[in-house]
Amino acid sequence: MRVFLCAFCLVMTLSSHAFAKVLDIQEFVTEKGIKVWLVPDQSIPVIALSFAFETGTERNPPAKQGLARLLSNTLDEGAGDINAKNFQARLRDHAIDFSFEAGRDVFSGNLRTLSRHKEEAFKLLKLAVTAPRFEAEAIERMRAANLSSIKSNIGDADWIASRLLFDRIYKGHPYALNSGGTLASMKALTAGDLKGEWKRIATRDRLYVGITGEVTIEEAKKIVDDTFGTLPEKSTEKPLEKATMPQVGKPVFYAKDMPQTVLWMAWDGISVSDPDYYAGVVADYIFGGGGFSSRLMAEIREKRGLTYGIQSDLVNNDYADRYVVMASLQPANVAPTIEAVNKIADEMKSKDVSPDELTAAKEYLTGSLPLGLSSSARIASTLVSLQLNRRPVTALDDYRAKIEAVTPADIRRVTARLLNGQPQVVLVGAKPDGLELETLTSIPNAETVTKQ
Amino acid sequence: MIRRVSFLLVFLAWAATAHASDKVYNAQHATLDNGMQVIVIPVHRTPAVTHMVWYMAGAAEEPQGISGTAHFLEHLLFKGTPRVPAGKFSEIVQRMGGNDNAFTSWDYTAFFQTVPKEKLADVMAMEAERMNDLTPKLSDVYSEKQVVMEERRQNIESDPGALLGERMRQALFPNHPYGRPIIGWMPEMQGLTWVDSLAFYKKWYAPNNAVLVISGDTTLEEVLPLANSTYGQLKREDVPIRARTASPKMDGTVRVTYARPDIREPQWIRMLRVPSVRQDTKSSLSLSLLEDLLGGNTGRLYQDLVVSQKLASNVDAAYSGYAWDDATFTLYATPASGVSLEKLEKAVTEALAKIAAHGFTDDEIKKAVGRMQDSAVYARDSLAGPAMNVGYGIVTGLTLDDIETWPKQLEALSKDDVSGALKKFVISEAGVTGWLLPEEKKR
Repeated sequence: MRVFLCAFCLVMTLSSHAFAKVLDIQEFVTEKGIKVWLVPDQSIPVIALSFAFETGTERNPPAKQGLARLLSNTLDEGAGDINAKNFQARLRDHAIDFSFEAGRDVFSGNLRTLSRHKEEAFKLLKLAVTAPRFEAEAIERMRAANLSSIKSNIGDADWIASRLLFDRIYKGHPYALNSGGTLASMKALTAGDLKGEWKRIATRDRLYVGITGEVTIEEAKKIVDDTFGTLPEKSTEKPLEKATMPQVGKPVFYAKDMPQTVLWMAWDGISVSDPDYYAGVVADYIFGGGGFSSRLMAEIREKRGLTYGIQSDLVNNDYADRYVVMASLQPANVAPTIEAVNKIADEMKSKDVSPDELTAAKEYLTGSLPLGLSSSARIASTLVSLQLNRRPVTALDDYRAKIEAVTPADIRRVTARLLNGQPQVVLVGAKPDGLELETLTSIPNAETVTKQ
Repeated sequence: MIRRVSFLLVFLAWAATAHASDKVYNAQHATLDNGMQVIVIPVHRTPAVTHMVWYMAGAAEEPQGISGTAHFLEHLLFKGTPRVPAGKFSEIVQRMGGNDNAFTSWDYTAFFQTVPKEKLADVMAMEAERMNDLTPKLSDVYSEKQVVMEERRQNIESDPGALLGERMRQALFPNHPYGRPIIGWMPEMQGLTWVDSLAFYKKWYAPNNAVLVISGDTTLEEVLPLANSTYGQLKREDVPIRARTASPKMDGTVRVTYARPDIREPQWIRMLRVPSVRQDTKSSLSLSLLEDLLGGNTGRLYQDLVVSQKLASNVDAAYSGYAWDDATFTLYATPASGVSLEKLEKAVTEALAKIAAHGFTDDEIKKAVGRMQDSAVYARDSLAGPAMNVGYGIVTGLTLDDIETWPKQLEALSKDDVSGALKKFVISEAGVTGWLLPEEKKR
C-alpha cells in the first residue's frame, strides 16, 4: 500500500460513541474461537469486513519505534506465490479496498469488495494474513515512504504539537513514544523484525471481526475460520501498567516560522468503562465537542472571532485516558484564549448546565446514531470497536437510555473530574505573548530515539 | 474552502460515478415553476437524507479586488434570518440529530444537512429562507471576518504546500479568476464588507440559479410537494450569465520555487491546464483513464520511478475534471533520499515520454475501464456521496444523463484516444512546475 502523509495519524483513538439502533447485529463465536459481529445487508452488492487484534504499537520498544506501522504497510505487499506488484494489481483490478492499520492498542485491517469479487477478495485476505512475503524490495520501498512521511511531519506544526503533547502527558509509558517511528529506528528495522512482529500480533484469542453486506451467517463463519483459523490460538503478552497523568509543568513551546500558534491543552480523562463515561460524553459535547453549538466555539469563534476552530475531545486508550482542547490562533490571542477556556471550564464545574442546553446535547447524541452508520465500511468498523470497548450486543439500545439518564449534577461531577486542575499546555509556532514558557529546540523521538 | 474545522472536502474522483449496465444513481429530476432544479437520488438504507442546495456561483464570479467575498458570504449565511437567529441554524440541525456544513469553490457554493428523513421539510424551510432573507448584525459580520482571516492563516499561511499551490495556480490561470484563491488574498480580505457580500448575494442567490439535490430515504414524489411549498414560493430573478475573463495561451515554461528552512521533505508538482468535462467530454474521458493508468501504486509512473528506478518515494496523478472553464491535471512526486528535484523532474518527463512512445495496450485500457466501472458501485455506498457527486456535475455544466452514463461512455475509448490525450495534454509545456524545497540555513 501507499503510505499517506497524515498529521493526525498519531493523535487519537476516539471512543466510539456513534452507535445506532437500526443495526440488527448477529453475534457469534466461530468453531476456531473467533468473535464475530455480523449485520447482513442486501441493499447494495457490497461486503465489508473489519478485524482487529487487540495489541498495537504500545508494545514496540524505543529502538523499534515504527515497527507495527511498517508491518501494516508491508502486509499487503505480496503474499503466497503472488509478488507485491501482482498482489496490488489484483486488488485494484477487482476494485477491492484492503489495508492494515497500526494503532496504539489495536492492529486492524479493513476490506471492502463487490459481492461478485468476494472469492478473489477473501483469497487475497487469507494469503496476506497467513503467508506474507516480506520481500526486501517491498520493505525498502515502504521504509522509504515512511522516512519521507516522518520528514514531512517534522515540518508540520499540528504533528509537532501532538508529538510534544504525547511525550509529556504519557511520560514514562510506551504511549509517549512515536508510533510512526523515528528516522533512526525506521532505518534499523529488518525483515526478521517484521516477521516477529506479525507473529506477536496475530493470535486468535484477541481477534475481533465485524462484517456487513451480502453475506449469510454460514458464509461469514466459513470466511472467518478459513482466513484466521490457522493463526496461533493464544498470546502470552501480559497487560501493561496504566499511564498516570504526570505533574503538569510550564507550557511547552517549540518555535516555528508561521503566522499562528497551535495550542493544545490536556487534562486527565475518564475511561470508557467508567460509570461516568456517558455523562462525560454529554459534558464534552456541551463544553467543546459539539461543533458550532459548543460553549468553546460560541465564545471563542462565534462571539470573539479569535480562531477558525476550537474543539475538545475525550481521548481513550486501553492504558490511559486524557481530555484535550485544541485550536490555532494568532500568538497575541493565545493567552486570552487559555484564560477563556479556563473560565468556561470553571463555569461548567460550578454551575448547572441549563435544561435547554442539556436537552439539545441529548437530542444530538441520541438522534445522530443512525446517521453515522450509512456506509458499509463505517458499519463494519463500528462492529469491531463496540467489541473492543467490551460493549454488549445490545449496546445500541443501552446507549440511548444511558445518555437520556444524564442529569445536570452528573455533568458537574464529571466536569470536575475532566477539567481538574491546570492542564498541560503545548504551543507550536509563533511565540505567544505574556506566558512563562519552557522552550524546546528539538522534537523528542522524531529524528533519533530519545533516552527515556 | 470549508466552513467547519474538521470536515474534509474529499477529492471525489470524477471516475467514481458509474456502473456499466445501469445508470449510476437512478436519479429523478424535475424543475419548479420558478426555475429551480430538483434532483432526488433514492437510497433506502437508513431512514435519513442528505439535503443540499448548490448555487451556480463561486469565487470566480467575484469582481476584481474583493477576492474572498463568495466564501465570506457562505459564512454569513449562518448569521441569521428573521426566523433563525445567528448561530441557531447548526444548533437546530444538531438538535434533530443531524449535521450541517457548507463549502465554496470557484464555480459554486453549496450548503448541506444530513438529518433523519422526517426532518427534511424543516431543513428545506430553513434553507429556503436564507436564499433571500439574510439579516446579519454588523457586529457578527465583523467577528466572522476575523474568523475567515484566521482560516486563511491556519489552512494556507501555515502550510508551505498550500502557499506554493496558490502561487502555481496564479501562474497557470493568468487573467482568469481560477488563478485567485477561493479564500481570498489577505489584503483584500481585510477589506471584506457586508455591502459587497450583499451585492453578491442579490446578484447570484436565486432559485433559478440553484440546484436542490437530495439523496437518501425518499423519492421525488415525496420531495416535490415540500419543494413547492418552500423553495417554490421564492420568485425567479434576473441572474447574469457567467462571464469570465479569458486566459491567454502562454508559451514558455513557468517554474515556481518555494524554499523554507523548516522543510525537510522536498516535493515536485506539475500542474497542467486541460479540458474540463463540460468543455470536451471525450478528452475528459481519456484524462480520467490517464489518471488511473499513470497514478496509484500499480500505475505506470509508480512502477517506473518508485519500484524500478528508485528515484522517487511516491508519485501520483490527479485529474480534477469538474470545472466550468479549464480543468487541471496534476502530477506529484516526492524524491527518494538524496535525489535532487532536477533529477526527479527529468526522470518524470522521460517516463512520460517513454509511455507516450510505446502507448498503452488494449488489455491495459480494458482493465482500467473495468475497475473504474466496478468502483462506481461504491458511489452508492454512503448517504451523502451520491448528492455530492451529482451536485458537482450539475453545477459545472453537465446533464444528469452525462453523470449517470459516464462509465458506459468509457467503453468507447480506444488506446489511441488515451495515448493521444497523454501527448496532447500531459506532455505539455503549458503547465506550471512547482518545487518545494529546504532552504539552506544562512551562515
